Amino acid sequence: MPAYNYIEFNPNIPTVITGDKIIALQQSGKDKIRPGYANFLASKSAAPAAPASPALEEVESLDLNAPANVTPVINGADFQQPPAELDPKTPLETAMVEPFNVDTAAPVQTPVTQPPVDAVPSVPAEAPVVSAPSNNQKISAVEFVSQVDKLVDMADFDEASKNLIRNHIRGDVATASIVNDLNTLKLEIFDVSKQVQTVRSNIAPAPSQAPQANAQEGPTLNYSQAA
Amino acid sequence: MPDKVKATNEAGESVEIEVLAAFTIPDFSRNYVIYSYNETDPNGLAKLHVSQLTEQDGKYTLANIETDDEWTRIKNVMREMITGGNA
Repeated sequence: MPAYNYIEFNPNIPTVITGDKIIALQQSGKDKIRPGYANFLASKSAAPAAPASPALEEVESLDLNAPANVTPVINGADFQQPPAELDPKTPLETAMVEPFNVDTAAPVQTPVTQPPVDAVPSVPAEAPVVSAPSNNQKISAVEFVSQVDKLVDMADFDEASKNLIRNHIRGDVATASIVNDLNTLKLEIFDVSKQVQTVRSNIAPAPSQAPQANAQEGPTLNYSQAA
Repeated sequence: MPDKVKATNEAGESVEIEVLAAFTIPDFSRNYVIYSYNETDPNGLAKLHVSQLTEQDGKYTLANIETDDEWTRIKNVMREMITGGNA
């Protein structure tokens, strides 16, 4: 069965166009589709060129080199330069990914969740790094405050005193006038703890006084009087 | 084969087309027509239009190509026309 057969198109029959497919083709191809069209083109050669489509629409081109049984889906450049092959020796720019620079020497700062404390000044993000001479290790201000909180928690303070110390330390950190030796700080805190205990002992109530007579017991019987 | 044919587009406007070829594909039992508005695309290539051709009540209707398979077969026919074959 033939792939196609020419039929006659009668120009005298009214024609209505409701849809079409558009394909781009070389002028020579256009000439060959219609036998004898070369003469027609030659007669039009003196005429001004047909206006190009105003919009840069993508028109499918007919690839004459494509096998007949293969569906060509090619736009525009069929009759132009084939796409350049990639040189396997040339690395693709997209593959040049800068490695993620991990500075293993930098300390990893773990965010510390602070317990909510009323009226505690916030530690500025740019707070200086605190040096701990005992082990020659630098810690961040956040970690410093965390250490302070732990020490304060261990101390035998009531909650109001702990808050007072926390506020004081955090205020120092915020103003960068910080104690830079955790060991010293630890001693100071426990020294304060002792002072607090001393104050408590000084204000402790006097030795227990004799209990007063129970008002509900009523008058004491005087046996001498009774006798 | 006429050089130019008067036709009416979807907007009801009268247009002039150049019919290059009309053919049938027996496998589909359908007729097709290749025509041109004598336009060129931005690359300087000739823009050809292809429609399914039906005749009813004394009127031609040039309709859209319905399927990709149909369009592929039409392009193969066009290649054969250009290369001189007529299978």
